[in-house]
Amino acid sequence: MASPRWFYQISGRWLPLLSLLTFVSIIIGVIWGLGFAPQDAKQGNSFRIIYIHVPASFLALVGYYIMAISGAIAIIWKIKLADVVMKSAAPIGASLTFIALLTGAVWGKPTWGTYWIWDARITSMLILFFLYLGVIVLQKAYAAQGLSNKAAALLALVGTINIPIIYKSVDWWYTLHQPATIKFTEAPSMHPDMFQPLLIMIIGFYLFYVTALIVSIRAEIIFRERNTSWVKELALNLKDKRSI
Amino acid sequence: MMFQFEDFSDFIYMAGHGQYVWTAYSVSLIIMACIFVMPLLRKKNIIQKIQKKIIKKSFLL
Repeated sequence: MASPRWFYQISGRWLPLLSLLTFVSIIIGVIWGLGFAPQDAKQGNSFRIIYIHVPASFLALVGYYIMAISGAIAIIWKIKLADVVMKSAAPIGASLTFIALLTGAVWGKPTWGTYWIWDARITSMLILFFLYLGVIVLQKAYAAQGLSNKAAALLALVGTINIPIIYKSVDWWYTLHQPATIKFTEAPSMHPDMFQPLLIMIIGFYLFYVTALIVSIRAEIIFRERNTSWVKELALNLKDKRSI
Repeated sequence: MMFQFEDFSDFIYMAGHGQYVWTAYSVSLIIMACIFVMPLLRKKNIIQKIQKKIIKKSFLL
């Protein structure tokens, strides 16, 4: 159990269904959000960016915990698969953070009149982006793979302090960024016609995250196990299938 | 639930916000497609290298 080979085989069975569900939910969410959700009374159509911005930010934060926790597991219990998860989660999280920052900037222009402002939420989100980049760079920093992974996992763990800061920043400081649309403790402050597509998009982004993580983990497993007999067998089997 | 725009050009223009909305959506979806496709290509590449190695070895034998 939990061996890379086991994960590769199990995930291969789930991947087609997961990819399909991801694709369908994001397509539905995008069409709904772009064309059918009513426009915002104050912000007009620019508000439609929320359907990318909020899910991406959400997964950027969740993904950071996933990365940090797998890093911790890799250090403490020396589980190979956990190390692969940490490595694969970093670029996905960095990309989602970048999407959150970019869509926020593009949304800020028509709404606040500026692409960028050093507001608490935005600045802490930028720090999250740098933390992700730091983890990616550290993984490649030392010639000894074990040392690199330890350093990366340590940075990931220390960086988790930033997550509650990001989450609470709109309440703790007086910021330009609007307060959270969805809270875990309250009903959403949004009309159902606007909220339903947002919910679809959040589900879609969760599915996307899981699917992208699995695809990335599978590639890393094949790379790390490239000299083992089961990967060689797999490569031969794939070749036979193609020649037929 | 109704389509919120008069026609296609109205949909693209979005009362002046079209450039922001379409930029946000298109760039984000392109990045997401890349995150998904890049590991698939990487895996394909590694497997092809392993296959070549095996063929080379079988010739040497």
